[in-house]
Amino acid sequence: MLAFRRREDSACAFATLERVAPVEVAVQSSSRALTGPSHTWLQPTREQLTRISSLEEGWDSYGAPPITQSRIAQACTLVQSIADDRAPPPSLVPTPDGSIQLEWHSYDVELEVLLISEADLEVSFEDLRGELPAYEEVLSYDVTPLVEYVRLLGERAQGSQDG
Amino acid sequence: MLPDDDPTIPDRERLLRRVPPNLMIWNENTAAWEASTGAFSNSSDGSGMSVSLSGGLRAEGLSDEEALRGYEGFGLVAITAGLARAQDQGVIRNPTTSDAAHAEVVGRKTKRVKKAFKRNAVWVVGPVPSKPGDE
Repeated sequence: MLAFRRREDSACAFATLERVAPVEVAVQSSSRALTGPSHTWLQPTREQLTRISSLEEGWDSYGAPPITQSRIAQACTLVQSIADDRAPPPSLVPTPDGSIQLEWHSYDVELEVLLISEADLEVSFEDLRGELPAYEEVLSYDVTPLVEYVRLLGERAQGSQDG
Repeated sequence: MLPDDDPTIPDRERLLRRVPPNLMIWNENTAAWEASTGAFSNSSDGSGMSVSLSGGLRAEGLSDEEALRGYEGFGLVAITAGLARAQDQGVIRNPTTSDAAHAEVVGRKTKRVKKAFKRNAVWVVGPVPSKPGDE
């Protein structure tokens, strides 16, 4: 089982610090933590989380709250947990309820992951080639299916490059 | 239990929803910009998903694009009231001081509902550039 949980001593343990700057701290730390296969996800994750962290109340024009540091830290931890250098990094988007969603829409894969609580992720997967069944579940702690979908993306991306 | 619904709003009524730049996603599978499913959420205060009624704007002599006034860089998508109702949602009028055409799409926004809205949403004002890297 691949577990997903907050590690307060990890590179993402910045939830209790101030806004914006902690993202920099976390990501700078991640430069060391995100070594090996996950390295190419670092910069886009850093840029997106920094932008999300700076959103102010009403950013969606309908009164959405700022994104909580807790969710930003959770997103950072999750990205580290599932990163696969072969796969494209996710688009990280804020949601009007103050959370974050990870999205991939490439290589005939439609994958979305919504952080719905500290422990729960809503995962929606669709393979447009029909090789794998559609999947919509809430994952608690165990992110094994998500890792498999990211691996599929990585394999298809690599296959595309190879040939 | 079905949510509240205003039957005087016809199924063909276009419901206009602003999309902030950070919820516009380039989909490589379809080679098109899409509004993220996250754009189709209820309000954080517990009320429904805010929209503007196209017919309401028209009754005031305004175009759909008026819903974007003051929101530079935002996109605007339209879904129909009929689509919302087909997803077990209700549509109710809720005029405000700043938007007499304001309405809400009420009901639980499950992933299925958000996906249906995303797939059927039509850009009224879409992202610029037409694709990434075209700037």
